[in-house]
Amino acid sequence: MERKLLMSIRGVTKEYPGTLALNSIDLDIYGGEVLGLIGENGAGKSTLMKIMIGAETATKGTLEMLGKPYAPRTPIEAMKLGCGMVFQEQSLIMNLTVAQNIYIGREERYVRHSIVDTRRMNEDAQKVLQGLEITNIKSGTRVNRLDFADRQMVEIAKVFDSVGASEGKGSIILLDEPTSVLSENEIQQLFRHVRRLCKQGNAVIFVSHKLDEVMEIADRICVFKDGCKVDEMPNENLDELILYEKMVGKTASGEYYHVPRQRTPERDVVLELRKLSKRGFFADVDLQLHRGEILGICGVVGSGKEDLCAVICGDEDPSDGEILVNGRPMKFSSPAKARKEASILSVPRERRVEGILGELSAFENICMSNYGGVRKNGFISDKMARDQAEKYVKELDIKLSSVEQKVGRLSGGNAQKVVFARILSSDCDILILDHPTRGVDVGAKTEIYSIIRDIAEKGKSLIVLGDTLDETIGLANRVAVMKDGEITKVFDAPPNEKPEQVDIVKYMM
Amino acid sequence: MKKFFALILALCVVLSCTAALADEPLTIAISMRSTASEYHMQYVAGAELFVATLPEGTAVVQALPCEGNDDKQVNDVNALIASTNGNMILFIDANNSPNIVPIAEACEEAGVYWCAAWNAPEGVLPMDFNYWVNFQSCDAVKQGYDIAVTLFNSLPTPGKGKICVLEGMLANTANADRMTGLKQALEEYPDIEVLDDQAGDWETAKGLSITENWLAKYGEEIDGIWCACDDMAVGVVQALKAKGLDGKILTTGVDGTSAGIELVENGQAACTIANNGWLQGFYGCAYAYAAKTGKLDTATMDTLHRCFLTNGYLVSADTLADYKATFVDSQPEYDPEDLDYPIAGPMFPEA
Amino acid sequence: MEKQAHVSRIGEEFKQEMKKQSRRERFISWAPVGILAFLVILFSIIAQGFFSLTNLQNLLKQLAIPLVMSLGLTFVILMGSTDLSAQGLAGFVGAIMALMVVNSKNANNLGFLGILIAVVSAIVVTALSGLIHIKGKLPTFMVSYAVSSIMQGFAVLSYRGEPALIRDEFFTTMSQGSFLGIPYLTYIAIVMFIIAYILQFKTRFGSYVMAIGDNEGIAKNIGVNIDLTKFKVFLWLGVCIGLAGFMGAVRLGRGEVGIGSNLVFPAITSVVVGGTSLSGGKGGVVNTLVGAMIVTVINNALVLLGVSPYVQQAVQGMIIIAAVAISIPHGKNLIVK
Repeated sequence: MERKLLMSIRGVTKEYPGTLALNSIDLDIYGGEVLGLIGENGAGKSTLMKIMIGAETATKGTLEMLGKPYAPRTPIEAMKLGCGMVFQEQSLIMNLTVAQNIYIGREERYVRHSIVDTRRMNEDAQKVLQGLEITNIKSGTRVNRLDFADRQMVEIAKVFDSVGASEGKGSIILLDEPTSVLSENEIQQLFRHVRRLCKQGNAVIFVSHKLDEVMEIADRICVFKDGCKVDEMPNENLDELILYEKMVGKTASGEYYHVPRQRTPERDVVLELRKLSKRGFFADVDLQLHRGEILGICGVVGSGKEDLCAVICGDEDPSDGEILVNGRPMKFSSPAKARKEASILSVPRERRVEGILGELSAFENICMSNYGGVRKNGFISDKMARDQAEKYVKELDIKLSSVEQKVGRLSGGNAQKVVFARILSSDCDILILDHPTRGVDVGAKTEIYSIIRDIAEKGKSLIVLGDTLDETIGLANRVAVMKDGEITKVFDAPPNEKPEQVDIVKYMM
Repeated sequence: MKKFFALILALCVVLSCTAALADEPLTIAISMRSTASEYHMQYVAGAELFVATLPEGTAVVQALPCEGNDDKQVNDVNALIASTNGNMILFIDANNSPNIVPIAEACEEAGVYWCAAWNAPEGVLPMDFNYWVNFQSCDAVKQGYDIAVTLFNSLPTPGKGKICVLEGMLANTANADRMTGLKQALEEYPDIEVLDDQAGDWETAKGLSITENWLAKYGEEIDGIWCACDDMAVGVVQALKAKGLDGKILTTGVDGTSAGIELVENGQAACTIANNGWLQGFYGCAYAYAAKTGKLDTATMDTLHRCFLTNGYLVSADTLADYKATFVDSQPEYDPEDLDYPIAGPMFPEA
Repeated sequence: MEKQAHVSRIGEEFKQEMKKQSRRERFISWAPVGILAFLVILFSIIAQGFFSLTNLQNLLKQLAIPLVMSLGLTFVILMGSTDLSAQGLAGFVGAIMALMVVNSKNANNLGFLGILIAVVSAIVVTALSGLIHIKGKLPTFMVSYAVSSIMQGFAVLSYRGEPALIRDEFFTTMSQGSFLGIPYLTYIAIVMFIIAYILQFKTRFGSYVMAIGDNEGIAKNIGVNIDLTKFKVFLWLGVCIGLAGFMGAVRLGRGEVGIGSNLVFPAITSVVVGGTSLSGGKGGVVNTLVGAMIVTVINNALVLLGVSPYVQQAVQGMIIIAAVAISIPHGKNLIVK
């Protein structure tokens, strides 16, 4: 069959201050195909998609759609040109009906004398749903009455209709992690829609962390790593593990993670989880964390690792099981309690959102978790706080003009070091690091690894959710693997015998 | 947009500067709750009457409404003292009693002679200060008593019947005193039964809705409504009107606002009491001015002249014509030399 | 095979949690109606005169102004903003309206034109404060509070301390007349409710307001003209405040600034008690109708019960807190996806 070229991407590059998110990508997208995009977090998939739907503009390079230059400035413009995205974070308005959501911003057809003809709009929306073989959703229902899977279907129906997929001129639909809230049946249903759409001459770009799904649906698979397209191949006789290896690339040297400095943890258990469960997220987790140990936890998105950490640090409540700190059962009602009563501190992943206070100065950020340590006569001593901050700035080699500088202005690496300074000043015994090197450049990464080693040497215990699997293995004394809410395997990772990524991946998929 | 805001700001600054540069006659400050209140504006009118008795250009009146904000009242007075360099006198109706203390201290320091009406904290008296000339008040207990008696006597069966009571704002001194007066009257009239007692916060709208609810509950069982102020009485009458009961069920008021007077005129209210803000404002200024110009020496003034009660004017069907002739159709005339004129009685009879 | 069973267990649990949450949400969305029904039944039993024709008329009359006011605020709050300008602005409208129709202070007799000018002036003012908010990026909370003070000042200036009594026949008829036993003012409120209902459910404007309140970023991506929609919300608010001012003047028979006092917070309370979220995107005009009824019924019944004025405010406050607590979803473990 003759394949029609829908979009061609040539030399697209995207630079953010300090990082190269996309490095000269070339990619062709053909009508009638499902293109699978895989890659680790930060490999550049999302950035490429954002450029395709006009949410970001490329620093360099060109895009063409059906032979014409294509440079949408907004998602709405991209949709009109025939390219739309189903977001991972749903973009439905909860208190509007299904029909209102499908046609929002495009109601002109249904408006007469300023009044929207709701009946006709509902009928048409029902037709759109029927066209996708979705029969269990009434178009007049409010979206907040639907469950997550149905919402996802509505979202998809909305994008399908917006890009004019049924018109046969060839549209592109991007699906970003569309299956994370769907059940097995619903996933199969989604796949049927995807295939039918392709038959009509459209292209679907399918992005997922679940390699098995990508391999099931995709005709062609592109592998992204560090902002580059590292491989592109037809989906024939592929091996999941080989694909995975391409995705994560070569294992970095032990030196990079300061493996020689890895020390044997002490015998005593500081944190123990017994049959810890949170309904719907993870179940029966048994884990032990020793003094001075770095425990890596890995698993794909939705494996429950983030939720587990949220429960340990007191942000969420468990539904079952026990948390023991130094042998004593504990219950935390909030992260503040966890820090105070069990000396547990969590460092969130979204640093810009949750981790630092950009409008405050470096020294204020540093002493934030430990005002107790810089208090004199009951008041915070400005001088003590500053002295302490100066000490850490020197120790961690944070590059800033003065401790007065607002943290919001620092580069990713330096801002992260400020976060670490705060961790150190808090003097907590158990630290949970969620993606500690997210958005940090290579040079700063190795410095941060060194800091993590320092912390472990001081006898602190750490739980690390690495940005990449390689990072998790490289740093950890032991690696726990999670899949679908349970621990499938715990690997020992002593300095000289680090487990292979492929072995671990077997337990993740 | 930014430029627009900046322009407005600049304009405000320029205006206030030019105001400050003008020639400086004596400032007579009237500090009170609100320009929205007709009664409080009578103070200002009274002060204007007083200024008119002086040679032209001697003094100007400045109203300082605090809009119910205690801090604003104290700050405004302080600000004015600073901007006039103490070349002022003050008449104040304190929003709340405690305001008197900081103001007394500020005036004492700046040498500003001043008089107060209505509110002062227990035990804080002009006699303890050199510059606080006097403190005048109306006999609110007597007001509550007078309107109650007038109402009781105008009921279908004089001295007998069922009434509803509409208080002003709870925990407000004037309200409490008027209620005390009502209770005294009730003791003298044992055949008057109180059906219900509600607080309308001095507001017309609340007077209206409370009365509507009373009418739903008691209907024409009600013979009269004792109401603690004119503003609420307007609401009471609106509710009665809707049921065609105005004039049949009488109410009362205090303050003597034009609306209150009109209710009396229409036969909808039994009476109201004009507090006579003109008199209070006029003599408040007259006393302070006399002290400032050396005609009075606070050190030698007796207690009666430093703490006294003034008379209100009970406006009922009988006295309406006389009241209108004096206060509505013409301006009242007072003699600034006759400083004994406003004194109706001592504030502390036992002393 | 055993593995597979476990996978579906977590999946099933997740689905159950979601179902539980959506059941809870559904329950909460009906809570205001339940509260209203409960209060009506309770007061019918314990409050003498509550369940009577006269009192029903009272309730309808007392409901009218707060309802119109809160219908205007509903859209503002749905959008995630607040507006406090009603206090001064409604008073201003009432004050200048009284001065333009037949009144006790001057010889004006503009009749309906006077009413129209007053209502339109409210729209102009909210439009201006809307523009300051939208273009100047100043928070509505502060802008509207400032506007309220300014308009209060103008209102007082307009009548110089002595509010005008309205002598216009039309006003007397409006305030006392009724048709089919329902007071005229209530008809205005009913018409306004119908218009608000159409605006919310039958126009693009309604959808866009919802979208902005839910997530302004999404609304922008969808192509909603956010500034224009916000501006329209302020115009509608102006219409409501203008009418509320007019209705206040009708009810009191005089144009005083006090018309607006005690209008803002009951209106906001009505909106919130009805279940419209202060953070926007949830609720609507039907909720507001229920909320306004709850607030009106409470005010009315406390007087009928003869509750001592000393505890009345406290009781009222407690009922409102209880109502809000039931109507608003809360809790640490709310799954927000």
